[in-house]
Amino acid sequence: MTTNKPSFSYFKVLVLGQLPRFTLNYFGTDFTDNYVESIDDEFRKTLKFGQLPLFVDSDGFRLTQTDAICKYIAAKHDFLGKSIKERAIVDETIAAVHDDVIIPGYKVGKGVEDKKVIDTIISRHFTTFENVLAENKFIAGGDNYTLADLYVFVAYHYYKHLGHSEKFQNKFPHLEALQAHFESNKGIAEYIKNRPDSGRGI
Amino acid sequence: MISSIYIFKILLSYLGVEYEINQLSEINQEFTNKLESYNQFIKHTQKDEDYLLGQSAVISRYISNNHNFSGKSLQESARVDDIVESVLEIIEEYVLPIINSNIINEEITKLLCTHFNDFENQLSKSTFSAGDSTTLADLYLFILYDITLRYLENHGHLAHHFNEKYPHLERLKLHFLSNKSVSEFINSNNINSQSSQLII
Repeated sequence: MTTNKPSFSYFKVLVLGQLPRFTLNYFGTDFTDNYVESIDDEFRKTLKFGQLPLFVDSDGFRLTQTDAICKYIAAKHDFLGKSIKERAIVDETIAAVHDDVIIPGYKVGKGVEDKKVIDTIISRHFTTFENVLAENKFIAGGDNYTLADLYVFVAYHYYKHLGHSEKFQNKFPHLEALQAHFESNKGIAEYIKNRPDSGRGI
Repeated sequence: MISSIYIFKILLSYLGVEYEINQLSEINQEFTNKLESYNQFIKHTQKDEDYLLGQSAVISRYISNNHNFSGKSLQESARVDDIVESVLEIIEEYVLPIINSNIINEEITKLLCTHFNDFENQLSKSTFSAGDSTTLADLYLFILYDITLRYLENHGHLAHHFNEKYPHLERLKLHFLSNKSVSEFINSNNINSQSSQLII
C-alpha cells in the first residue's frame, strides 16, 4: 500500500477549516494543505455529501466532518483526555465552541447575524471558559492540555481576528495565557504567519 | 414533540441500562448555576436546535464510551464521530424543516434521499457503518431512517422515494427493532406526521 502525506482540503475562510489546520499544525504534522477556491462537479463526486472539509490520512482513510477530523488527529497524539469523563468534557467543549461560538461569530462577520450575539457569547461562553481555567488550569479538568484547550484557544483567537479584541481587554487573563501558550508553538506560529488571507476577514 | 431525550432513551434501552428521567418544567437560576459549575454551556432558549443537537451527541457519546459502543479502534471511533455529526447535520438541514413546518418539500426530500443513498452504499459494503460490530453510528443512522419513514408514511406521494430502495438501512432498522426494549419504547411513542415538532 502506498503511503502518502496526509492532506486537508478546505476554503481560504477560517471558520471551520481553521480547527483542523490548527490541530494538524500544533502537532507539527507534515501534511498537504489544499486551499480550495471552489468545488467543481468532479471533485464534489469524491466528497461524502459533496461537502468540505476533507481530511485524507496517509493510509487513505477519509473523514469529512470538522470535529471528527480534529478528534482523530488528537487521538493519535493522546490529546483527548485520560479518562472517559475527561473525554466527555472535551466533547462537550468541542460542541460548545463549534456550534455556539465559531458559527455565530462567523455569521456576525458575514453580516447575517445580529452583532449583539457577540456580547452574549463573550459574557456566557468566554466567561465560563475563563472561570474553568481559573479553577482547573485545563479546560477538561485533567492534568494536561487537551483538544478542549486548543478549541477554546482557536475560538478566542478567532474572535480577536474578527475584530472583537476591545471586548476582551483585561477581562480574561487565563484565556490570554492560553493564547500565549498555543501561539508559542512553532507549528501554530508558522500557520498564523503564513495562512492566506481569505479577503473576507472571516 | 420528540425531544433530545428520544435518542438517549433508545440508546439506553438498546444497551439495557436502567435510568431515571427527570423532566423539568423550567430551568431556574439555581439549576443553571449548578450546571455551569460542571462546565455545561447551556442555552436559556429552547429553540436553538444547533445547540441541542451538539450536546445530545456529547451525552450519547459519553454513554457509548461507557459501554464500548464507540468503535474498537482509532479509525472506527473517528468513523463513528463522522457519521454521528453527519446524521445530526442531515436532521437539522432536511428533517427538522420538513417536520417543524409540516410541509413536505419534494426538493428537500430528494436531497435527503441522496444522503440515504450514501449510507445505503456504505452499508452494502459492510454490515456495520463503522467497523465490525454495532456502534453508536448505526444507532444514529437507524434513528434518522426510522424517524424519517415514520414521519413520511402518511404522505403517500413520497412513498416512491423510499419504497424498497434501502434494503441495508431496512436491515439495520430491523436489527434495532428486534431489541425488545427499543421496540417497546418506539411503539409507545407514536411518531408520525401528527408530531408537531422534532427537536433531537
